[in-house]
Amino acid sequence: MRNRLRELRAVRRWSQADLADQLDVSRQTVNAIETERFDPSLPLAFKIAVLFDQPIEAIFLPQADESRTT
Amino acid sequence: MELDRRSELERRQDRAAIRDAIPAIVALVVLEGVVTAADLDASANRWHLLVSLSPLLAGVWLAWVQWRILRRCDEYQRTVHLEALSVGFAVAMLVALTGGLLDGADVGSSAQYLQLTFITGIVAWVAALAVLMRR
Repeated sequence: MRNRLRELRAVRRWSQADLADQLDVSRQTVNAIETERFDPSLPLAFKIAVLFDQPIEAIFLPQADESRTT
Repeated sequence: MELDRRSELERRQDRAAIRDAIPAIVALVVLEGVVTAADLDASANRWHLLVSLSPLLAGVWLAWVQWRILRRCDEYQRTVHLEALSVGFAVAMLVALTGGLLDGADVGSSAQYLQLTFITGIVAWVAALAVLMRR
C-alpha cells in the first residue's frame, strides 16, 4: 500500500521521532510505514488520519494491482 | 542537533527492558557460577541434581523478561521480534538436526552439540533482530 506519510510529515516539519512520539510508536515503525515496508493496522491508520486531520483514504492509497482485486 | 533519534516509546521500552533484564542476567551468572564452582555429581545425589538445574530458574526468568519486552512492542516491532525469533528457532533446529546426525555417526559428543544448538540459536536470533531493526 502506498502512503503520503512522509509528505504530510515534511509539511509540518516533524522528524520521524516527533511523529512517532505523537503516535506513541517507535521511530522504526514510522520509517517502515513511510518506506512502505509495513502496512499499519486499522487502529494506527485511524490515529494517523486523526493526527493529520485527513480521511484515511487521502493518506493511504492502494497499489494499482490492489485496487483491481478489490 | 538531535542526537537521540529514539521516540519516547523506545526510551520507555529500553529503560523497562534494562530494569527487567539485569536482575535475571545477574541471577543466571551467579547460579551458573555456583554450579560450576561446586562441581556437583548429579547422578549420586538428588540435591546435587536440583542444584545443577537451578540455572533453569534464571532461564525461565529471562524468558519472562523477553515476553514482557514483546508485550511492550508496538505492532511493527512485534512483527520484527517474532521474525527474528523464528530465524533463531530455525537455525537452532538445523544445528540440532546436524548435531544429531553427527552424534549418530559417532562424531563429537551430544553435550557439545546441545551447547552449540543453544549458542547458535541465540546468536542467530540476536543477529536477525539487529539486521531487521536496521532496515
